[in-house]
Amino acid sequence: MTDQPIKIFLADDHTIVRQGLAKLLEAEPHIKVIGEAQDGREAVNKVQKLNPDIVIMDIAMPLLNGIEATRQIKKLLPQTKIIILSMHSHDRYISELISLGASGYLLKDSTGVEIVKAVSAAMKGDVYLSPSISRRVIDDYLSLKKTSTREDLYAKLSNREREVFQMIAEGHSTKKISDVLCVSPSTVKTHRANIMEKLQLDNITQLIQFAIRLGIVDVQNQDFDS
Amino acid sequence: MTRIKQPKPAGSPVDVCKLQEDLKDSESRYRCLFEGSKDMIFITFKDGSFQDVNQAAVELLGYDSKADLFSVGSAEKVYHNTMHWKVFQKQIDRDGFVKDFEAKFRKKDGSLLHCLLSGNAVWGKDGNIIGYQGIAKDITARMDAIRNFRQRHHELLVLNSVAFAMNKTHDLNAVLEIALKKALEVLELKAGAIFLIDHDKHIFVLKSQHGLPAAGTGKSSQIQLHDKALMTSLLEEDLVLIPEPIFPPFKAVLLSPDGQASIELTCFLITAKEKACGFLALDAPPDKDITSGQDFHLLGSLGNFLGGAIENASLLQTIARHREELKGLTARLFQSQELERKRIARELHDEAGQALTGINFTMETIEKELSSELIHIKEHILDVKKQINRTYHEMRRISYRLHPSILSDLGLEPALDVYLADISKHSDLKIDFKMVGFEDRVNPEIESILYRISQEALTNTLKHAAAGHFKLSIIKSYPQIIFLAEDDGIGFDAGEFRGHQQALGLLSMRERAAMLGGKFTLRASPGNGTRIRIEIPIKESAYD
Ligand SMILES: Nc1ncnc2c1ncn2[C@@H]1O[C@H](COP(=O)(O)OP(=O)(O)OP(=O)(O)O)[C@@H](O)[C@H]1O
Ligand SMILES: [Mg+2]
Repeated sequence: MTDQPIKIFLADDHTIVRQGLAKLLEAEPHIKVIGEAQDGREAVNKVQKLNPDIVIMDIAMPLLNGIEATRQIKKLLPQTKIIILSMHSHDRYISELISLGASGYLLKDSTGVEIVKAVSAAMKGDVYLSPSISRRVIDDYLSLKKTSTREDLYAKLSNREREVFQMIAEGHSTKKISDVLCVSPSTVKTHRANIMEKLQLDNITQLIQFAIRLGIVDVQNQDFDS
Repeated sequence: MTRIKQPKPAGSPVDVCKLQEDLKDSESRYRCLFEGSKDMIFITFKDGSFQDVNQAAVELLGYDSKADLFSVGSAEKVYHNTMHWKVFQKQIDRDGFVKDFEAKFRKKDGSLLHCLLSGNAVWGKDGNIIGYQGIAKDITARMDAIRNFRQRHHELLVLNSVAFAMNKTHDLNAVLEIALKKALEVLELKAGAIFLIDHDKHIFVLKSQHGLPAAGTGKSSQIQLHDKALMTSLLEEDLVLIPEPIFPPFKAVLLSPDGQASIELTCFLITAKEKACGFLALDAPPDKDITSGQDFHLLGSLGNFLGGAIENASLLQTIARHREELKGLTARLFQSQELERKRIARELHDEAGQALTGINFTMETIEKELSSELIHIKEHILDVKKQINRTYHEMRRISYRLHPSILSDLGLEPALDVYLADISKHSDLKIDFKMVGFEDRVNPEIESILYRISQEALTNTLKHAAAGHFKLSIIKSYPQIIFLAEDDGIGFDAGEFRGHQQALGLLSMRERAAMLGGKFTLRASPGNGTRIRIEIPIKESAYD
């Protein structure tokens, strides 16, 4: 700990929560609450002015929610640590906010001790999570994100390519596709080549199989384990 | 009696005797044939004056006796069209005969006799034509039948085209348009109109017109019935139509917009269920009577027929309007339900939840500041904190069930992920879920509708399917999002699902899909699982 107290900013739309929190934190000698906001937009504005070390932020807030406020503050002031104090315990919230750069995620039933622990961890550059949140879930999620499947590749297709993809999969000829889309057959062929490349497919059979697996083509009896 | 060729003059007297005998014999046979014929037979001299006629001719032409007919003077006089007599003569002069020549004769009373006429020349001894002989078959009845048949045929044609138009379109204006066009065509008229009665505004409204320069369609028009009493009762809807197959025609004048010119129209009432709903107004030239005979009959039938069409069209319009209203109401209901749920969920979560959180923190501060003598109170404080915690979690659960805030906070994919993971935890059902092709979040309405539809689909699978596997995929294709929910359970007879009065699940899925302009397809059959596919159009450009 340094001699300087840790400057903390509270963002929560509920006065009662802010008051409770402030009381809890002010009881700690090395912590000072330097400001409060009751919605996300106010938080972003005040944080820029007050430049706290740590922002303790709720997710559910009017005007701008905590997720967006976190995104904006981390962009404007990357050094500012953000600890989320939320009622949401879903993994998806946690991983989303951690990936946005939050330094801690606490549930609202956390004890004062935990909050103080999270503050110290954040000051050291660590990430602190409520004990009830399994760390493994986060690791799993973050690692899962890296492996890219063909389905992820599909997201890289442009709208026009998706349209052509579906029509090819439905068995339409190049001529028909070019008629429907009012483009030349050679344009359709170019689209097709781009689609095959983007999806890393070798032939039309694979393309059709993939479309069926996705569920794009409305087939009568689809093999369930495909 | 002369015949085509005179027999050669006789030779010896014995022969003469025999020949005269024979001649008499054949003459009487011929006379018998001549007089017994039901067809009219006449023989004239070269100039057309009668030499002989048979009894049938006298009767068919309506004369009292042969002498009566002869007093007419010449055959030419009994022809309806003297040209026909001339043609008859000319052809026989040239060819020696005519065959199946259609001609009309004028009867004594002036009416016409329609005949099929054949004839040949009467030769003189010198080989010159000295007269004509004709045999005419009365085909008046046949011609009447044919005309009748043609008329019927036309009538059917008109009614058929109207029926066809009715089948093809529910647009009343199109039906009226066709009906008017056909009626004019068949009656060989140039101008006419159809007016409907607007019982609310008490006016005649011009719905369709042809060839009336004065009239502009749709305008409340300047039509005046000659019969003012009839006009009033039509407009006031108090006309009682005694079940009469066809209401008598009536006259009206159509004024031009500037009130200057006017056209007289002959009108035929259009009726439905013994109520007048409009009329056909036709511009018939003075020499054409459409108020009697076949034309009248046709117009009467058309009036009845159009009445049915008008009633159908207005019923369909009402149904369509009600369906639209219902659709709008359903959509509004869903929307307000969703909004209300969201509001309550938020209130519970935020207001009550946060209050509890605050209280919890305050309790903790109190706990810390408590002096050690009051240690027994600590236990109570702990108790209160536990209760707060339980209440807090229960409230969050309720709030989540009402409206998962994760849906608005993070989007459809995380929300469904969390929802499905939760179900998975509590059942043996294997759940596959993927969302493919979504780089950004889609609009919140689509998100919340797809969320509710997914919930309903999975609920059905859990409730009814006894399935081992549930698959949910949402793919962003273009120009639509494809939603697919399927299970490998027992399935059901999809054709019967309409019959379920209480079941709302499938219906609400379909209605929700309709709110997004989506196409809902249900494919299910006993033993083959259940599959729901919804295609929702997206409004993005092809080149994003
Ligand atoms: N996945 C399914 N597998 C087997 N049967 C199904 C399935 N989904 C629906 N059904 C059959 O279709 C009927 C109608 O379904 P629907 O969801 O409309 O009503 P419900 O589930 O009976 O009642 P509600 O959804 O209104 O609570 C069901 O009662 C059931 O018989
Ligand atoms: Mg149901």
